[in-house]
Amino acid sequence: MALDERLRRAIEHAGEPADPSGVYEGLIRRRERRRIWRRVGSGLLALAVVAGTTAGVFALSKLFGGPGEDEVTPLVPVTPTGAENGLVAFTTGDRIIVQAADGSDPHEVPAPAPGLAWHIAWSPDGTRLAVAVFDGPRRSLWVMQADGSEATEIASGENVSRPSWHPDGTLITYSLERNDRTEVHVTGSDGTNDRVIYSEPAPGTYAVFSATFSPDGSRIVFDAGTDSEYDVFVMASDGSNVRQLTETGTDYNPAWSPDGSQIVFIRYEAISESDVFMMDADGSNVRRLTHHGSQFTNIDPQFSPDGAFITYGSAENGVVGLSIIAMATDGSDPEVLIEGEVLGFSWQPVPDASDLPQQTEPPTEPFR
Amino acid sequence: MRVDEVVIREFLHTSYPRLVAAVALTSGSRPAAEDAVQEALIRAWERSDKGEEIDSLEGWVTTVALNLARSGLRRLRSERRARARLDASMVGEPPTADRIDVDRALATLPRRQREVAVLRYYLQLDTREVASALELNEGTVKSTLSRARAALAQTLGIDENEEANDRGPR
Repeated sequence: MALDERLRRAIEHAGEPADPSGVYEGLIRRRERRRIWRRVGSGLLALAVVAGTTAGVFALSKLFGGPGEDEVTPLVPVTPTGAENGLVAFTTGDRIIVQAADGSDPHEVPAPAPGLAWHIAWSPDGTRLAVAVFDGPRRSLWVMQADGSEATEIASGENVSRPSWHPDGTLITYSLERNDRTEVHVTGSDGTNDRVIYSEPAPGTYAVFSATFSPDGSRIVFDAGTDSEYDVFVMASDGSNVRQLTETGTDYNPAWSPDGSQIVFIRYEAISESDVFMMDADGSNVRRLTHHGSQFTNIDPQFSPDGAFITYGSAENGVVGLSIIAMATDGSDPEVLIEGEVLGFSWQPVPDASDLPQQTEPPTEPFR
Repeated sequence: MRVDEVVIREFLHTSYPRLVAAVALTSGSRPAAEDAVQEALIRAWERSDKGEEIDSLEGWVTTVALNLARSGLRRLRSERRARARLDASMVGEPPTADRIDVDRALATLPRRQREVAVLRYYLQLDTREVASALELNEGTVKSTLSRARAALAQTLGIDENEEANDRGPR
C-alpha cells in the first residue's frame, strides 16, 4: 500500500468527527450574548469617555505614576492574616457558581464577559472575585463583586493566566504573552498602573504561568519554561532575585501555603502524569502527596484559606469532567468537594477579624 | 454567498464534524477545536449579516478556525492536558493505541507540517486547497508535506521505501 494511503488511513482513524447535535442552538445563544455585550460595551465606553476627564487622569498619574514608567519599587511585606474557610467559587465555562463548601446553597453569578469563564480567585477579604475569561484567542481578566456586579476588565491579551491577589487586596499579578515574550505583570485590582515586572522570550508553547503572590506579598512564585521543560521559580515581587526552585523540567502550577512556608505544585512523571507534590518554600524537602498514576490529570493545587486542606482539579480517564478534590495536607483523606465539569476553583478566605491590622488611613501608594 | 440559518444548519451537518476533527488533530484539543470552529462560523455569519461576501464558507471557516486554534496553542500545557483528558472522557471510550500513536506522531511535527498533513490526509484537500486554507503558496505546501510525510512515516514505523511506485502526495 502506498505510503500516502497508509498515512491517510492512519490519520483518518485518529480523527473523531464531532456531533453537530445542539451546536446550532449553542451558536444562536452565543451570537445573542455577543450582541447584548456589544450594546452594554457601547454604554460602558460612553461612561468611560465621560469619566476620563483631565482631572481624573491627573489624579491617577499622581497616585500611580504616569504611563510607560518602568521603575518598580519592591513591595514591603505585610503580615499575613489568618483566615477561615468560607464559600467556594468555581467556573464551568458557561457558568460561575458560588456555594457553601458542602455543596449547599449554590448561586449562579453572572460571568463578566462572553466566552469561557476559567480561572477564578477570591480577594483576600473575600468580597470580590477575579475571573479569567477566554473568548476565542482573546483572554481577559476581570474583577467584580462576589455577586457579579461592578465587573471591571483589568487586563487582556494572549495567554492571560490565572490571577493572584496581593494580600492587601489592592494588586493582582498575572502573566501574558506579547511579541513572542512572556511577561509577569502586577496591576492595581482596578486595572490601573499595570506594570511588567518580569519578561523573558517565549520560545515554545509553554511560558510563564501561575504567577502567585506569597501570603506576605513580598514574593511571587511562578512556573516557566519551554514546551518540553518547565520548572518552578520564585522572585521578589518587583521581579528581582529570580531563583529556580525545581530542576526536573516537569513542574508547574505552584501555590503557597497560607503561612508561606510551603509550596504545593504539580509534577509530571512518566509513571504519574500529574501528581500533587509539596516542598518547602526554598525548594527543599520535596514530597509526593498523590499517587494517581497515568489515568488522571491533576491541575491547580491550592491550600484552603485555613491551611488545613489542599484542593486540586482532577479528571479521570473515562469519567466526565474535572472534579475538585480536597485532601489533608499530607495527601490523606481525599474527598470530592465538587463533582463535575469544573474549570477554575477558589476557596473564599474569611479573614479573622482579630488578625486584621488596625488601619486608619487608606494607603496612598500601592508600591511602597 | 449569503450565510444564513439554512446555510449554517447545512454546514453543521456536512462539514462541521470533520472540520472539528481536523482542527482537533492539529491543536491537540477537541474542546478548543469545537470552540474555534464555532467561533469562526459565528464570525462568518456576522460578516455576512453586514453585507460582506464569503465565497466559500467551508474554506473561510477552515482558515479562521485554524488561525484561532493556532493562537490557542500558545496556552498552558496543563490546560491542554486537562482539556484533552476531559475530551477523552466525554467521548466515553479510551483512545486506541493506534490513535494515541497517530496523535503523538502528529504532536511531534512542527505546527505547519501538522496542519498541512491533516488538511491533506484527513480533510483530503489537494495542495492548492491546502495552500488556500493556510494562506501559503503551493510550493511551500508541497515541500512541507514532503517533510511531514517522511517524519510521520518514521515515527509511525512505516517504511517509506516499501512502495517503489509511491511518488508522494498528489
